[in-house]
Amino acid sequence: MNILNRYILSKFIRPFIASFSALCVLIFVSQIFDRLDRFIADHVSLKHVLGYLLTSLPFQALQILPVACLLATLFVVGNLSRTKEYIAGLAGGIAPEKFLSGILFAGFFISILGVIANETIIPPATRHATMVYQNEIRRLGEGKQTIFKDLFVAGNDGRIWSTKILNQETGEMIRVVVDCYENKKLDFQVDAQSAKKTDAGWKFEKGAVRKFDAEGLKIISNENFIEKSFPFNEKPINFVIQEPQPEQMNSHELKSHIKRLSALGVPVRKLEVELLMKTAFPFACFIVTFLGIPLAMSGKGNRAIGIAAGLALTLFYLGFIQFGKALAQRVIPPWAGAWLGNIVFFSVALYLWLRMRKTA
Amino acid sequence: MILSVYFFRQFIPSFFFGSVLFMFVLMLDKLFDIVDLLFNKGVNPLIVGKLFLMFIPTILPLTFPMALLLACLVTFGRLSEENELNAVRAAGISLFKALWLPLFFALFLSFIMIPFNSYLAPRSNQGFRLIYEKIISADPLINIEAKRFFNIKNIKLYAERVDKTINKLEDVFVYQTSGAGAPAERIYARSGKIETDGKTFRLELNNGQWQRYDADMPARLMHITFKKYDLSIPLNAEETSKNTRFRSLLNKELRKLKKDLKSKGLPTGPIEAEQQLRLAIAFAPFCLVLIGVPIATVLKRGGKSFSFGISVVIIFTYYLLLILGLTMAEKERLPAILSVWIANITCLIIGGFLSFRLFKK
Repeated sequence: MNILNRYILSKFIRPFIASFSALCVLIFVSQIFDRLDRFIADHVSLKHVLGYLLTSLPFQALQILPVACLLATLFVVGNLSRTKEYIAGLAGGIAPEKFLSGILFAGFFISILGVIANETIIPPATRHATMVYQNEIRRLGEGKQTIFKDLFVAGNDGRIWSTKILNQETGEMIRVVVDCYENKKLDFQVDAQSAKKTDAGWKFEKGAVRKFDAEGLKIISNENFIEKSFPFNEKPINFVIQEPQPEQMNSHELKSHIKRLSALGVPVRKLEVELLMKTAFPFACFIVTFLGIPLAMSGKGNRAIGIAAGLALTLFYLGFIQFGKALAQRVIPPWAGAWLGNIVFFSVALYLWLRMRKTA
Repeated sequence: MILSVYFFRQFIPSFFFGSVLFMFVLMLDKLFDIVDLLFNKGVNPLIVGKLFLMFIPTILPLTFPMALLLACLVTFGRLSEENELNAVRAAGISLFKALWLPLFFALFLSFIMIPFNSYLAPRSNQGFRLIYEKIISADPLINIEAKRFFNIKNIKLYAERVDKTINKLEDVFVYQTSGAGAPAERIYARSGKIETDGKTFRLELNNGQWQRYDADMPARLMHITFKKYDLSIPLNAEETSKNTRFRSLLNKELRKLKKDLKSKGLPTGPIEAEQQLRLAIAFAPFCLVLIGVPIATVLKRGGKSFSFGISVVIIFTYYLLLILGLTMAEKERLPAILSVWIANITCLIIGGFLSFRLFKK
C-alpha cells in the first residue's frame, strides 16, 4: 500500500468509527425504549438488561455496517472534492481508481471483518443474548426453569411427543403420549403414565402400545405394559430448547443443522438462504463504498445532489438485498437470492465508475 | 432576517438527511418482514404499504431529536470552522439574531410532537398490530410451516405437509389442552383445510381419529375414528389485544385506566411515567438543539466525523438520564413529573447556560 492509499485510508477511518458508533447508539437506545416497560414489569436486574442488550448488539451492528461505510465514504469523498485534493490528484496524472483505492480497500477489509464476525463473535454473543432473555428476563429472574407443563414437540424419526409435565433436570415425564409417524402414516403410539430417560433410550412405565391400521386410523392391537423401553434418542433438553436462529450459529453449525433437518424432511430453504447471506451480506460494505464514490463525485456541480443520490441508492440497495432474500424462499435458487443485490448493484457501481473515469 | 434565513437554509438539509438516515436504520429490522409479506406471502401491496406507514410514526420521536442534534453539530460546527460566525460577530451582529431560527424550529417541532406522541404514535402502534392480525386472519396458513407447531389459543397444530396454494394440510395433528391433569386431547387426520373469516378459525379435518386420555390410567382411552370433523375457534378481538401495552393507548385511555387503578388502590407509577414520557420526549428536540448550538460553535476543528462523535456522547447521556428517570418513575421512587423530566431539565440548564454565554458575547 503506497503513501497515498494510506493517507486516504486514514481519512476514512475517523468518519467510519464516528458513524458506526452513532448508529450503534441509536440502535441501543431504540432497543431499550422498546423493551423498558417489560424489563421493569418483570423486575429484571440492570446487569441482565445490559447483558442482554450488549450481547444482542453485535448482530444489530452488522446490519448497520454498510450504512456506516456509506456515510464515511460520502464524508471522505466530499472532503477530498471540497479541498480540491482529488482534482490535484487527477492533475498529477493519478487515475481515479488509484487515488481512491484506499477507500475501496477499507470497504473490502470491513466486509472481510463482517464475514469473520459472523463466524466468531456474533453466534456466541447472540446465543448468550437469547439465553439471558429466556432465563433471566422471561423467567422473572427467579432462575432457570426446569419443570415444563403441556409440552408438544416434534422429535426425531417422525415421533410427536405430548407430555403433561417434563422435569428437565431428572429427565422424567408424567403422562406422556408418543405418536410414531412412519412411511407417511401413523404407525403406532406409546401412551404411559411416566417416562424416564436412560442410556439406552426411554423407559416408559404403566402404559400401552397401540398399533394402527394401514390408514393410521383404527387401533388394531393394544398391548399393556408395566415397564417397557424404547430406543428413542431424544434428550430432555431437546424438548425445551427452541430451534436455534441462524444468527446463533456459524456457517459450519448452520450447515450441520440444515443437514439434520433435511434428513428429517423439514423444509430448509430459508436456512439455506441465511447460510449464503452470512458471506453475501457483509460484502454490502464493499459494494456501498464502490457505489458511493462515483455518486458523491457526481451531482453536476452540486455535491448535495450527489450525496443524496448516494444515500438513496444505497438505501434502495439494502432494500433490494431483502427483496432477493424473500425471492429466494420460493422463486429463485438460494444462491441467486442471496447474491442478487450484490450482483445488480456491483454492475451499477461499475457502470458509474467507468462513466466517472471517462469524465475525469 | 436574511442572515438568520441563510443559516437556517444551511441547517435544514442536514436535518432531513439525518432524519431519513436514522429512520432507515431503525426500519432495517422490519424491512425483511415487509418484503417477505409482499413477495412470499402474497399480501396485498396496499396493506403492506399501510403497515409500513403505520410503523414510521413509532420511530419519529427517536429520530427527530437525533437528527436535529446532528444537524446542529454538523452545520454550526462547519460555520464556526469557516469563521462565518466570527464574521457575524465582527460585524456587530448578535449571534442570537443569526441563529434564532433553528431554535425556534426545534421549539415548534417540540410543540408539534406533543399531539403526535399523545395521539398519532399510539394510534399507529395499535394500527400496526391490528393490520398484522388482519393479515394473519385473512390467510391463516401465512405462518404455518410443515413439521412445525403452530399455536392458536389452546390449540397446537402440526402438519407433515402444507400446501399453501390450496390451503391444504396433510397428516395433521391437533392438540387441545384443557389445563386439567389429563394429557391434551389429540386429533390425527389424513388431511385438513383451514379457513377463517376474521372472527372464527375453522379447521376441516378428513379421515382421522380423535383420542381423549385418562389423567392416571393410559388403559382408559376414548378413541373415535371419523370421516369428517370440523373444529371452530372463535377469534375474540378483545383477547388478541389482552397484552396491549401503555405505549399503544391514547392519553384519554391512559387517564381512564389510571382512574380505574387508583379507585382499586393499585399502583399507577407506570401509567404516570408513560404520560410524562410522551411530553418529555416531545421536548427532546428543543433541549438537544439548545445544547447542540453552543457546543457546535465551540468545535472549531474536527469536521463532520468529530461532530458525529460528540452527538453520540450527548445523545447517549441524554437517553441514559431519560431511562433512569423513567425507571424511577415506574418503580414510584420519585414522582413521574420530576424523574422523567430530569434529562430535559439537565439539558435546559446546561444548554441555557452555554447559549446565554454564547449569545452574550
